Amino acid sequence: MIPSSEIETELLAFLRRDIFAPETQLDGETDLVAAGFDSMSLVKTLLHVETNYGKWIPESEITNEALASIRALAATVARVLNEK
Amino acid sequence: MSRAFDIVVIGSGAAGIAAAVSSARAGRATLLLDKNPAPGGTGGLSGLTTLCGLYDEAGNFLNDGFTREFANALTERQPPAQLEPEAIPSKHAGPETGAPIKMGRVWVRPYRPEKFREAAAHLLSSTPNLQPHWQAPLANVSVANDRIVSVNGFNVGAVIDCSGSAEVAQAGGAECLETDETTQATAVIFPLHHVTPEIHTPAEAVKLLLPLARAGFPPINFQANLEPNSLTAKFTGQPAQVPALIEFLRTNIRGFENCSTPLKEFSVARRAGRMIVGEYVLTGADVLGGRKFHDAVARGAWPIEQWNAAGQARLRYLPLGAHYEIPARSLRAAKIENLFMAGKTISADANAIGSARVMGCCLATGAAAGVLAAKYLDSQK
Repeated sequence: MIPSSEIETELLAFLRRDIFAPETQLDGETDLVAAGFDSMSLVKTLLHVETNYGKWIPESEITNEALASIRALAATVARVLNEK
Repeated sequence: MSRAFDIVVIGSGAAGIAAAVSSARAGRATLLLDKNPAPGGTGGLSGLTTLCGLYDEAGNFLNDGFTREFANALTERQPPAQLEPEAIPSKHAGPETGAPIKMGRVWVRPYRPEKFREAAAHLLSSTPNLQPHWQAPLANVSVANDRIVSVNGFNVGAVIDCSGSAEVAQAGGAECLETDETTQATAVIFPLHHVTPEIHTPAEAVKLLLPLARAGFPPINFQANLEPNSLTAKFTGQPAQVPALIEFLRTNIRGFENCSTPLKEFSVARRAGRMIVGEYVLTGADVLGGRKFHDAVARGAWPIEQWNAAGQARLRYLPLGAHYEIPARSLRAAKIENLFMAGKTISADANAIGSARVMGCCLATGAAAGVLAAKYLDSQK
Protein backbone atom coordinates (compact mmCIF):
# COMPACT_ATOMS: atom_id res chain seq x y z
CA MET A 1 0.00 0.00 0.00
CA ILE A 2 1.29 3.43 -0.94
CA PRO A 3 -0.38 6.02 1.29
CA SER A 4 -2.04 8.94 -0.40
CA SER A 5 -0.05 11.40 1.76
CA GLU A 6 3.23 10.06 0.40
CA ILE A 7 1.99 10.55 -3.19
CA GLU A 8 0.84 14.06 -2.28
CA THR A 9 4.30 14.97 -0.96
CA GLU A 10 5.96 13.56 -4.07
CA LEU A 11 3.54 15.40 -6.39
CA LEU A 12 4.08 18.70 -4.60
CA ALA A 13 7.84 18.29 -5.00
CA PHE A 14 7.34 17.55 -8.70
CA LEU A 15 5.10 20.60 -9.22
CA ARG A 16 7.56 22.89 -7.43
CA ARG A 17 10.43 21.51 -9.46
CA ASP A 18 8.92 21.16 -12.93
CA ILE A 19 5.72 23.18 -13.25
CA PHE A 20 5.46 26.23 -11.04
CA ALA A 21 7.99 28.90 -10.22
CA PRO A 22 9.84 27.90 -7.02
CA GLU A 23 8.41 30.84 -5.08
CA THR A 24 4.77 29.87 -5.81
CA GLN A 25 2.77 29.08 -2.68
CA LEU A 26 1.50 25.51 -3.09
CA ASP A 27 -0.07 22.98 -0.81
CA GLY A 28 -2.29 19.95 -1.14
CA GLU A 29 -5.43 22.03 -1.30
CA THR A 30 -4.30 24.67 -3.84
CA ASP A 31 -6.87 25.04 -6.62
CA LEU A 32 -4.65 24.10 -9.55
CA VAL A 33 -6.60 25.75 -12.35
CA ALA A 34 -6.92 29.00 -10.39
CA ALA A 35 -3.16 28.86 -9.75
CA GLY A 36 -2.57 28.99 -13.50
CA PHE A 37 -2.37 25.28 -14.26
CA ASP A 38 -3.11 24.73 -17.94
CA SER A 39 -4.17 21.49 -19.60
CA MET A 40 -0.62 20.72 -20.71
CA SER A 41 0.63 21.00 -17.15
CA LEU A 42 -2.11 18.61 -16.04
CA VAL A 43 -1.04 16.15 -18.74
CA LYS A 44 2.60 16.52 -17.75
CA THR A 45 1.71 15.79 -14.13
CA LEU A 46 -0.32 12.69 -15.04
CA LEU A 47 2.46 11.43 -17.31
CA HIS A 48 4.88 11.90 -14.42
CA VAL A 49 2.59 9.87 -12.16
CA GLU A 50 2.25 7.13 -14.77
CA THR A 51 5.99 6.93 -15.40
CA ASN A 52 6.91 7.18 -11.74
CA TYR A 53 4.47 4.54 -10.45
CA GLY A 54 4.35 2.36 -13.57
CA LYS A 55 0.60 2.33 -14.08
CA TRP A 56 -1.78 4.12 -16.43
CA ILE A 57 -4.59 6.14 -14.94
CA PRO A 58 -7.80 4.75 -16.49
CA GLU A 59 -9.94 7.22 -18.41
CA SER A 60 -12.79 6.73 -15.94
CA GLU A 61 -10.57 8.12 -13.15
CA ILE A 62 -9.81 11.36 -15.04
CA THR A 63 -12.50 13.60 -13.62
CA ASN A 64 -12.66 17.28 -12.74
CA GLU A 65 -12.91 16.33 -9.07
CA ALA A 66 -9.69 14.30 -9.34
CA LEU A 67 -7.90 17.23 -10.98
CA ALA A 68 -9.16 19.91 -8.59
CA SER A 69 -6.21 19.81 -6.19
CA ILE A 70 -3.06 17.82 -5.50
CA ARG A 71 -4.75 16.15 -2.51
CA ALA A 72 -7.63 14.97 -4.72
CA LEU A 73 -5.23 13.77 -7.41
CA ALA A 74 -3.04 11.95 -4.86
CA ALA A 75 -6.11 10.19 -3.47
CA THR A 76 -7.10 9.08 -6.98
CA VAL A 77 -3.59 7.85 -7.77
CA ALA A 78 -3.43 5.96 -4.46
CA ARG A 79 -6.73 4.25 -5.20
CA VAL A 80 -5.61 3.26 -8.73
CA LEU A 81 -2.24 1.97 -7.50
CA ASN A 82 -3.67 0.04 -4.58
CA GLU A 83 -6.32 -1.70 -6.67
CA LYS A 84 -5.67 -5.39 -7.04
CA MET B 1 23.00 64.53 -46.48
CA SER B 2 19.81 64.08 -48.47
CA ARG B 3 17.35 61.62 -46.98
CA ALA B 4 15.19 59.31 -49.04
CA PHE B 5 13.18 58.47 -45.91
CA ASP B 6 13.02 59.86 -42.42
CA ILE B 7 12.31 56.50 -40.82
CA VAL B 8 12.69 52.93 -42.04
CA VAL B 9 10.74 50.17 -40.30
CA ILE B 10 11.85 46.57 -40.76
CA GLY B 11 9.13 43.93 -40.55
CA SER B 12 5.34 44.20 -40.82
CA GLY B 13 4.14 42.06 -37.92
CA ALA B 14 2.18 43.63 -35.07
CA ALA B 15 5.16 45.77 -33.99
CA GLY B 16 6.10 46.88 -37.50
CA ILE B 17 2.55 47.87 -38.44
CA ALA B 18 2.25 49.93 -35.26
CA ALA B 19 5.69 51.51 -35.67
CA ALA B 20 5.20 52.43 -39.33
CA VAL B 21 1.72 53.87 -38.85
CA SER B 22 2.66 55.92 -35.77
CA SER B 23 5.84 57.24 -37.41
CA ALA B 24 3.90 58.23 -40.55
CA ARG B 25 1.16 59.83 -38.45
CA ALA B 26 3.86 61.87 -36.72
CA GLY B 27 4.48 63.35 -40.17
CA ARG B 28 7.62 61.39 -40.96
CA ALA B 29 8.27 59.96 -44.44
CA THR B 30 8.27 56.29 -43.55
CA LEU B 31 9.47 53.27 -45.48
CA LEU B 32 8.34 49.80 -44.39
CA LEU B 33 10.43 46.87 -45.59
CA ASP B 34 9.20 43.29 -45.36
CA LYS B 35 10.64 40.15 -46.90
CA ASN B 36 7.15 38.69 -47.39
CA PRO B 37 4.79 39.61 -50.24
CA ALA B 38 2.15 40.97 -47.82
CA PRO B 39 1.89 42.31 -44.27
CA GLY B 40 1.16 40.20 -41.22
CA GLY B 41 4.29 38.75 -39.67
CA THR B 42 3.70 36.27 -36.87
CA GLY B 43 0.27 37.73 -36.08
CA GLY B 44 -1.06 37.40 -39.61
CA LEU B 45 0.91 34.61 -41.24
CA SER B 46 1.91 32.01 -38.62
CA GLY B 47 -1.56 30.54 -38.05
CA LEU B 48 -1.98 32.20 -34.64
CA THR B 49 -5.61 33.00 -33.79
CA THR B 50 -5.39 34.55 -30.31
CA LEU B 51 -4.18 38.00 -29.46
CA CYS B 52 -2.44 37.89 -26.08
CA GLY B 53 -1.23 40.65 -23.78
CA LEU B 54 -3.93 43.22 -24.51
CA TYR B 55 -5.66 43.16 -21.15
CA ASP B 56 -5.11 43.50 -17.44
CA GLU B 57 -6.42 41.07 -14.83
CA ALA B 58 -9.90 42.63 -15.01
CA GLY B 59 -10.11 42.36 -18.81
CA ASN B 60 -9.47 46.09 -19.45
CA PHE B 61 -7.04 47.34 -22.10
CA LEU B 62 -3.51 47.80 -20.73
CA ASN B 63 -2.50 50.11 -23.57
CA ASP B 64 -4.69 52.62 -25.36
CA GLY B 65 -3.92 54.43 -28.61
CA PHE B 66 -2.88 52.40 -31.62
CA THR B 67 -2.95 49.09 -29.70
CA ARG B 68 -6.62 49.48 -28.95
CA GLU B 69 -7.36 50.84 -32.43
CA PHE B 70 -5.77 47.83 -34.11
CA ALA B 71 -7.41 45.29 -31.78
CA ASN B 72 -10.77 46.86 -32.51
CA ALA B 73 -10.07 46.72 -36.26
CA LEU B 74 -10.02 42.93 -35.87
CA THR B 75 -13.49 42.83 -34.39
CA GLU B 76 -15.75 40.34 -36.04
CA ARG B 77 -19.41 40.67 -36.70
CA GLN B 78 -20.12 37.12 -35.64
CA PRO B 79 -19.60 35.98 -32.08
CA PRO B 80 -16.57 33.87 -31.17
CA ALA B 81 -16.90 30.11 -31.01
CA GLN B 82 -18.29 28.83 -27.75
CA LEU B 83 -15.45 26.41 -27.21
CA GLU B 84 -13.01 27.43 -24.51
CA PRO B 85 -9.43 28.11 -25.53
CA GLU B 86 -6.90 26.00 -23.65
CA ALA B 87 -9.87 23.79 -22.86
CA ILE B 88 -10.06 25.28 -19.40
CA PRO B 89 -13.55 26.45 -18.51
CA SER B 90 -14.20 30.04 -17.67
CA LYS B 91 -17.02 31.76 -15.92
CA HIS B 92 -16.25 34.97 -17.76
CA ALA B 93 -16.25 34.05 -21.44
CA GLY B 94 -17.88 36.91 -23.26
CA PRO B 95 -19.77 35.81 -26.36
CA GLU B 96 -20.38 39.38 -27.52
CA THR B 97 -18.54 40.83 -30.47
CA GLY B 98 -14.85 41.40 -29.97
CA ALA B 99 -15.02 40.64 -26.26
CA PRO B 100 -12.01 39.08 -24.59
CA ILE B 101 -12.26 35.56 -23.26
CA LYS B 102 -10.45 34.13 -20.26
CA MET B 103 -7.70 31.56 -20.69
CA GLY B 104 -6.55 30.27 -17.31
CA ARG B 105 -5.75 33.47 -15.42
CA VAL B 106 -5.40 35.79 -18.42
CA TRP B 107 -7.66 37.41 -21.00
CA VAL B 108 -7.14 36.94 -24.73
CA ARG B 109 -8.94 38.01 -27.87
CA PRO B 110 -9.61 35.49 -30.62
CA TYR B 111 -9.21 36.76 -34.19
CA ARG B 112 -9.10 35.57 -37.76
CA PRO B 113 -5.63 35.74 -39.34
CA GLU B 114 -7.12 36.90 -42.66
CA LYS B 115 -8.80 39.78 -40.82
CA PHE B 116 -5.44 40.63 -39.26
CA ARG B 117 -3.80 40.75 -42.71
CA GLU B 118 -6.70 42.74 -44.14
CA ALA B 119 -6.62 45.30 -41.31
CA ALA B 120 -2.83 45.60 -41.65
CA ALA B 121 -2.98 46.05 -45.43
CA HIS B 122 -5.74 48.64 -45.12
CA LEU B 123 -3.89 50.67 -42.48
CA LEU B 124 -0.60 50.56 -44.33
CA SER B 125 -2.11 51.58 -47.67
CA SER B 126 -4.37 54.32 -46.29
CA THR B 127 -1.87 56.12 -44.03
CA PRO B 128 -0.26 59.18 -45.66
CA ASN B 129 3.58 59.40 -45.58
CA LEU B 130 3.89 55.62 -45.48
CA GLN B 131 5.38 53.53 -48.25
CA PRO B 132 5.57 49.75 -47.88
CA HIS B 133 7.99 47.68 -49.95
CA TRP B 134 7.10 43.99 -50.12
CA GLN B 135 9.44 41.11 -50.88
CA ALA B 136 12.19 43.43 -49.76
CA PRO B 137 14.51 41.50 -47.45
CA LEU B 138 17.17 43.45 -45.63
CA ALA B 139 20.10 43.53 -48.03
CA ASN B 140 22.54 46.01 -46.58
CA VAL B 141 22.88 48.37 -43.68
CA SER B 142 25.65 50.93 -43.59
CA VAL B 143 26.78 52.45 -40.34
CA ALA B 144 29.06 55.44 -39.81
CA ASN B 145 29.91 57.12 -36.48
CA ASP B 146 27.48 54.91 -34.54
CA ARG B 147 24.57 55.88 -36.79
CA ILE B 148 22.81 53.90 -39.48
CA VAL B 149 23.14 56.00 -42.63
CA SER B 150 21.43 53.80 -45.17
CA VAL B 151 19.31 50.66 -45.45
CA ASN B 152 19.01 48.82 -48.77
CA GLY B 153 20.44 51.86 -50.49
CA PHE B 154 17.95 54.36 -49.00
CA ASN B 155 19.39 57.11 -46.86
CA VAL B 156 17.64 57.15 -43.49
CA GLY B 157 17.25 59.36 -40.44
CA ALA B 158 16.26 56.59 -38.04
CA VAL B 159 15.53 52.87 -38.15
CA ILE B 160 13.04 50.78 -36.17
CA ASP B 161 13.87 47.08 -36.03
CA CYS B 162 10.61 45.13 -35.81
CA SER B 163 12.03 42.06 -37.52
CA GLY B 164 11.61 39.84 -34.46
CA SER B 165 15.16 38.64 -34.93
CA ALA B 166 17.13 41.89 -34.74
CA GLU B 167 18.03 41.78 -38.43
CA VAL B 168 19.16 45.39 -38.61
CA ALA B 169 21.15 45.13 -35.43
CA GLN B 170 22.90 42.05 -36.73
CA ALA B 171 23.68 43.74 -40.02
CA GLY B 172 24.72 46.97 -38.29
CA GLY B 173 26.84 45.31 -35.63
CA ALA B 174 24.75 46.25 -32.57
CA GLU B 175 25.02 44.11 -29.46
CA CYS B 176 22.27 41.46 -29.11
CA LEU B 177 20.86 39.09 -26.52
CA GLU B 178 19.57 35.68 -27.54
CA THR B 179 16.78 33.41 -26.48
CA ASP B 180 17.30 29.77 -27.25
CA GLU B 181 15.48 26.48 -27.48
CA THR B 182 15.63 26.05 -23.71
CA THR B 183 13.34 29.03 -23.08
CA GLN B 184 11.55 29.89 -26.32
CA ALA B 185 11.08 26.70 -28.32
CA THR B 186 9.41 27.04 -31.70
CA ALA B 187 5.91 25.83 -32.59
CA VAL B 188 4.06 24.64 -35.69
CA ILE B 189 0.67 26.35 -35.78
CA PHE B 190 -2.16 25.09 -38.00
CA PRO B 191 -5.96 24.98 -38.12
CA LEU B 192 -7.77 21.66 -37.70
CA HIS B 193 -11.17 21.57 -39.37
CA HIS B 194 -14.10 19.15 -39.04
CA VAL B 195 -13.55 18.57 -35.35
CA THR B 196 -16.40 18.15 -32.89
CA PRO B 197 -14.61 17.60 -29.61
CA GLU B 198 -16.10 17.99 -26.18
CA ILE B 199 -13.49 20.12 -24.45
CA HIS B 200 -15.24 22.18 -21.85
CA THR B 201 -13.55 21.00 -18.68
CA PRO B 202 -10.00 20.23 -17.54
CA ALA B 203 -10.82 16.50 -17.40
CA GLU B 204 -12.03 16.50 -21.01
CA ALA B 205 -8.88 18.32 -22.10
CA VAL B 206 -6.68 15.80 -20.31
CA LYS B 207 -8.54 12.86 -21.90
CA LEU B 208 -7.75 14.40 -25.29
CA LEU B 209 -4.11 15.28 -24.61
CA LEU B 210 -2.94 12.37 -22.46
CA PRO B 211 -3.13 9.72 -25.25
CA LEU B 212 -1.03 11.99 -27.48
CA ALA B 213 1.57 12.42 -24.76
CA ARG B 214 1.65 8.67 -24.02
CA ALA B 215 2.20 8.04 -27.74
CA GLY B 216 5.28 10.21 -27.51
CA PHE B 217 4.08 13.23 -29.47
CA PRO B 218 5.61 16.51 -28.37
CA PRO B 219 3.12 18.65 -26.49
CA ILE B 220 0.25 20.16 -28.43
CA ASN B 221 -2.22 22.77 -27.40
CA PHE B 222 -5.65 23.33 -28.93
CA GLN B 223 -7.29 26.72 -28.88
CA ALA B 224 -10.71 27.87 -29.95
CA ASN B 225 -10.78 29.98 -33.08
CA LEU B 226 -13.58 31.81 -34.83
CA GLU B 227 -14.38 29.11 -37.43
CA PRO B 228 -17.15 26.58 -36.82
CA ASN B 229 -15.99 23.05 -35.91
CA SER B 230 -12.41 24.17 -35.95
CA LEU B 231 -9.49 24.49 -33.54
CA THR B 232 -6.07 26.08 -33.79
CA ALA B 233 -3.31 23.61 -32.96
CA LYS B 234 0.03 24.79 -31.55
CA PHE B 235 2.35 21.85 -31.88
CA THR B 236 5.82 21.98 -30.38
CA GLY B 237 7.16 19.22 -32.63
CA GLN B 238 8.56 19.39 -36.13
CA PRO B 239 6.56 20.16 -39.29
CA ALA B 240 7.34 16.65 -40.59
CA GLN B 241 5.48 15.10 -37.62
CA VAL B 242 2.17 16.86 -38.35
CA PRO B 243 0.71 14.29 -40.80
CA ALA B 244 1.35 11.46 -38.29
CA LEU B 245 -0.19 13.57 -35.54
CA ILE B 246 -3.35 14.18 -37.58
CA GLU B 247 -3.57 10.47 -38.41
CA PHE B 248 -3.25 9.61 -34.71
CA LEU B 249 -6.03 12.06 -33.83
CA ARG B 250 -8.31 10.63 -36.54
CA THR B 251 -7.72 7.07 -35.36
CA ASN B 252 -7.70 7.48 -31.60
CA ILE B 253 -9.50 10.56 -30.40
CA ARG B 254 -13.25 11.02 -30.13
CA GLY B 255 -14.44 14.09 -32.03
CA PHE B 256 -11.38 14.09 -34.32
CA GLU B 257 -12.39 11.19 -36.60
CA ASN B 258 -12.80 13.47 -39.63
CA CYS B 259 -10.25 16.13 -38.78
CA SER B 260 -8.09 17.68 -41.48
CA THR B 261 -6.06 20.79 -42.09
CA PRO B 262 -6.26 22.98 -45.18
CA LEU B 263 -2.50 23.63 -45.03
CA LYS B 264 -0.25 21.83 -47.48
CA GLU B 265 2.99 22.90 -45.86
CA PHE B 266 3.83 23.51 -42.24
CA SER B 267 6.29 26.07 -41.05
CA VAL B 268 7.88 26.77 -37.73
CA ALA B 269 6.84 29.90 -35.84
CA ARG B 270 9.38 31.53 -33.58
CA ARG B 271 8.10 32.74 -30.25
CA ALA B 272 11.05 35.02 -29.64
CA GLY B 273 14.41 35.28 -31.26
CA ARG B 274 16.96 37.93 -30.59
CA MET B 275 16.85 41.16 -28.62
CA ILE B 276 18.95 44.28 -29.14
CA VAL B 277 20.78 45.64 -26.10
CA GLY B 278 19.31 49.06 -25.36
CA GLU B 279 19.95 51.80 -22.86
CA TYR B 280 18.09 49.67 -20.33
CA VAL B 281 17.61 45.89 -20.35
CA LEU B 282 14.19 44.97 -18.96
CA THR B 283 14.56 42.00 -16.61
CA GLY B 284 12.40 39.11 -15.47
CA ALA B 285 12.42 40.66 -11.98
CA ASP B 286 11.02 43.92 -13.41
CA VAL B 287 8.20 41.96 -15.04
CA LEU B 288 7.30 39.79 -12.03
CA GLY B 289 7.70 42.73 -9.64
CA GLY B 290 5.35 44.95 -11.70
CA ARG B 291 8.11 47.59 -11.91
CA LYS B 292 7.23 51.13 -13.04
CA PHE B 293 9.57 53.55 -14.85
CA HIS B 294 9.72 57.36 -15.15
CA ASP B 295 10.06 57.00 -18.94
CA ALA B 296 7.42 54.29 -19.38
CA VAL B 297 5.96 53.94 -22.88
CA ALA B 298 4.03 50.65 -22.69
CA ARG B 299 2.45 48.28 -20.20
CA GLY B 300 2.46 44.51 -19.95
CA ALA B 301 0.87 41.93 -17.68
CA TRP B 302 1.30 38.65 -19.56
CA PRO B 303 3.02 35.94 -17.48
CA ILE B 304 6.59 35.01 -18.32
CA GLU B 305 5.79 32.16 -20.68
CA GLN B 306 8.73 29.97 -21.50
CA TRP B 307 8.93 26.76 -23.46
CA ASN B 308 11.66 24.23 -22.97
CA ALA B 309 13.16 22.00 -25.64
CA ALA B 310 10.61 19.29 -24.79
CA GLY B 311 7.90 21.80 -25.68
CA GLN B 312 6.64 22.19 -22.14
CA ALA B 313 5.36 25.54 -20.98
CA ARG B 314 6.39 27.21 -17.78
CA LEU B 315 4.24 30.16 -16.75
CA ARG B 316 5.27 32.66 -14.12
CA TYR B 317 2.52 35.12 -13.28
CA LEU B 318 2.67 38.65 -11.99
CA PRO B 319 0.94 39.22 -8.64
CA LEU B 320 -2.84 39.41 -8.99
CA GLY B 321 -3.89 42.69 -10.59
CA ALA B 322 -0.31 43.88 -11.24
CA HIS B 323 1.24 45.15 -14.46
CA TYR B 324 4.75 46.28 -15.36
CA GLU B 325 5.96 49.08 -17.56
CA ILE B 326 8.43 49.12 -20.44
CA PRO B 327 10.73 52.18 -20.43
CA ALA B 328 11.60 54.18 -23.56
CA ARG B 329 15.24 53.26 -22.84
CA SER B 330 14.41 49.63 -23.70
CA LEU B 331 13.31 50.72 -27.18
CA ARG B 332 16.54 52.61 -27.94
CA ALA B 333 19.70 50.76 -28.94
CA ALA B 334 22.70 51.33 -26.71
CA LYS B 335 25.40 51.46 -29.34
CA ILE B 336 23.65 52.90 -32.40
CA GLU B 337 21.98 56.21 -31.64
CA ASN B 338 19.35 56.23 -34.40
CA LEU B 339 18.28 52.59 -34.00
CA PHE B 340 15.01 51.83 -32.19
CA MET B 341 13.34 48.51 -31.62
CA ALA B 342 9.87 47.18 -30.96
CA GLY B 343 8.10 43.85 -30.52
CA LYS B 344 10.26 40.80 -29.96
CA THR B 345 13.55 42.68 -30.39
CA ILE B 346 13.22 45.16 -27.50
CA SER B 347 15.98 45.33 -24.96
CA ALA B 348 14.89 42.64 -22.52
CA ASP B 349 16.52 39.59 -20.99
CA ALA B 350 15.45 36.05 -21.85
CA ASN B 351 12.96 36.04 -18.94
CA ALA B 352 11.35 39.43 -19.60
CA ILE B 353 10.88 38.73 -23.31
CA GLY B 354 8.86 35.63 -22.33
CA SER B 355 6.20 38.13 -21.30
CA ALA B 356 6.86 41.15 -23.52
CA ARG B 357 6.93 39.14 -26.78
CA VAL B 358 3.12 38.77 -27.00
CA MET B 359 1.16 40.77 -29.56
CA GLY B 360 -0.42 43.28 -27.18
CA CYS B 361 3.08 44.38 -26.11
CA CYS B 362 4.34 44.26 -29.70
CA LEU B 363 1.60 46.68 -30.79
CA ALA B 364 2.26 48.99 -27.83
CA THR B 365 6.05 49.04 -28.17
CA GLY B 366 5.68 49.43 -31.95
CA ALA B 367 3.47 52.50 -31.58
CA ALA B 368 5.83 53.93 -28.95
CA ALA B 369 8.94 53.31 -31.08
CA GLY B 370 7.36 55.19 -34.00
CA VAL B 371 6.80 58.21 -31.77
CA LEU B 372 10.27 57.97 -30.17
CA ALA B 373 11.99 57.78 -33.55
CA ALA B 374 10.03 60.82 -34.78
CA LYS B 375 10.97 62.77 -31.62
CA TYR B 376 14.58 61.77 -32.06
CA LEU B 377 14.57 63.28 -35.58
CA ASP B 378 12.98 66.48 -34.18
CA SER B 379 15.86 66.74 -31.72
CA GLN B 380 18.40 66.40 -34.52
CA LYS B 381 17.25 69.53 -36.36
